[in-house]
Amino acid sequence: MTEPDIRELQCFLALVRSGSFSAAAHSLGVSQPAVSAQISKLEQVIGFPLFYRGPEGTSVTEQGQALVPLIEDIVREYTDLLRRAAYWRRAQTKQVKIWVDGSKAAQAARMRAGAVENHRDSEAWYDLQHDTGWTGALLNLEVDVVLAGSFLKAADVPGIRTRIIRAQRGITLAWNPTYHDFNRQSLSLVEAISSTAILPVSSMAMGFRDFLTHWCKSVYGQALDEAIECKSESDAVNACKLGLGVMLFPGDADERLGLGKEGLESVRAFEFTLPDAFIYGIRYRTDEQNPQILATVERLEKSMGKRD
Amino acid sequence: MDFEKERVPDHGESRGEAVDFRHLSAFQTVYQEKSYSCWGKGVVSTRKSVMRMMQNLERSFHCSLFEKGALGELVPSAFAERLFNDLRFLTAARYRMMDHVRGIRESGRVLHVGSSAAVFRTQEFRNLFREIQSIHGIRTSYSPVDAADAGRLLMSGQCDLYIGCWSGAASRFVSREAGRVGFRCYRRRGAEAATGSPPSARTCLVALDGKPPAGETIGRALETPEIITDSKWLYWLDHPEDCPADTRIIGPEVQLDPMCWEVEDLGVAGPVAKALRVSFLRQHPYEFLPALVGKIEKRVHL
Repeated sequence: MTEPDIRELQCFLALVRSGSFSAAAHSLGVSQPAVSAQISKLEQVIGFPLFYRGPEGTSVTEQGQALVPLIEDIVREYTDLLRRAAYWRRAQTKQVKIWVDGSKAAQAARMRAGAVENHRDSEAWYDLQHDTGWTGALLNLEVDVVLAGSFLKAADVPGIRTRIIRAQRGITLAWNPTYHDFNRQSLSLVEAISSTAILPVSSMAMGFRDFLTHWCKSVYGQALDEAIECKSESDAVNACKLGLGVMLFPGDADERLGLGKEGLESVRAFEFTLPDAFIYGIRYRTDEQNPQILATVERLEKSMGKRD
Repeated sequence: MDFEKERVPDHGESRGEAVDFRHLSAFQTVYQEKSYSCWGKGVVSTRKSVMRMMQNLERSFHCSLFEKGALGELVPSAFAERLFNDLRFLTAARYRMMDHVRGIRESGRVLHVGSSAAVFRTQEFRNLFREIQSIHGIRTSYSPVDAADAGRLLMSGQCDLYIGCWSGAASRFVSREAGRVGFRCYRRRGAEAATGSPPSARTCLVALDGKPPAGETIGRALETPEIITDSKWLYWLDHPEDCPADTRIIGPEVQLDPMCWEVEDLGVAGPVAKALRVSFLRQHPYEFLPALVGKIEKRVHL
């Protein structure tokens, strides 16, 4: 009995999840006949039908369903293997892979590193995609160091250590007085969210959106539907300056972004109820032993400067 | 399952183009044998192709795997050592799946046999079905499938083997003769017929799966018969009281109540029969289907 190969198994999972050959082809970035051929080949190799095919879609057979967890295991192990291999290769070539969020501090650190030849060669910097769960990526060796913010306990994951660069209280509400006539003394969160909220994407402040959504729902009975998610702090400031909404950012955004200099007004909220709620830091694996990565963490901590 | 966990590394790192199971298995064997030549256990591969596979892996991982030692043996690099170690988890997962597949294959795969209800009632079908049931390593299930739906259900995978008078396009389906259903003439006995039904001089011919057998021959012998559908034939079999007395039905050979039906001589020279065919999808994953159908076909020609 021959063994199916990884491409066929990946096709199988894509088809199980999507329920249609065209959707599976789309998710894999291949043509529909290619998926169809891979599935036929897989069925021939396995020796029994895996799918019922009909005009209304595709459904997995009972025997195919029993294979799903086993094939998921294989595909996960295969992906992990490639990640580990990439990690070992980086270790051999003394390269450190760094993901950075859209904060000004992270982008400045990246600029500084790019200006130094040594760091340019040994560090590979990439923007954190906003839909990326960086905690998982760190744990499964996909990345070595992440510069990102988190709110409350959202990033407290076993196996990940944080060198704190900033720990700030509460949240900041900011707006352009030209477009919004808020009273600084009496502005409340419920008033702010009555207009569009300008928020950071989850990669910039993990857990912040969840906190706001939960708070608005449970305390004010309002859904946080109208929101603009910004990939970077600069985008958020620009959106706020254009009067597109009220900026709701974790911690002391005025201190970090100089909102006053940009002509924006701001107030702080939850300062005393949420001390050290916003943590901005350098994240890496707790059990990391690669000296190159540990040296990079030390260097970044020094260069970004620890400020409370 | 978490899609995030399955994201393959990007940013110019190995995307696994050449890292398929064949390459990884070759790597494991070369690592264990410390030679490109020792590879060949289980998979026939030349030294040259094994070396090429190792080069492909090195390109994919951007790392050297083996170097020549002082005595000509292969010395794994530090990367190869780690790769071999890490491969244990993937190999274990692959074995788990293959064990599961082997278990299904050894405990008997289910063969979904379909036929129309009228064919199901025939003696020939029952003989055939029993024969398939007796084959070791196959578990047989039956579901009624109308001849009109046979092609669609074979294509969809709901039915693995269709037995009936239907045969699909040769490019898509394999269809072989599996036997012949003999036709007999049954006369509805008069005394037990429904009181409201007047005696009938009708002669009906059952169009099994929509196709009557040798209609012209029968027609000449018994005047022009009235073609009746499978469903009407089955209804009369189950409810003989609703069939007018003296109705003659030329139908497939089935077991029926002799109190209600009398078998008459057809009055034609040779036997009247209709070919029963077994059909399956040409690309069906069951590799044993051609052999099974071939065996059935051979039995017919004996």
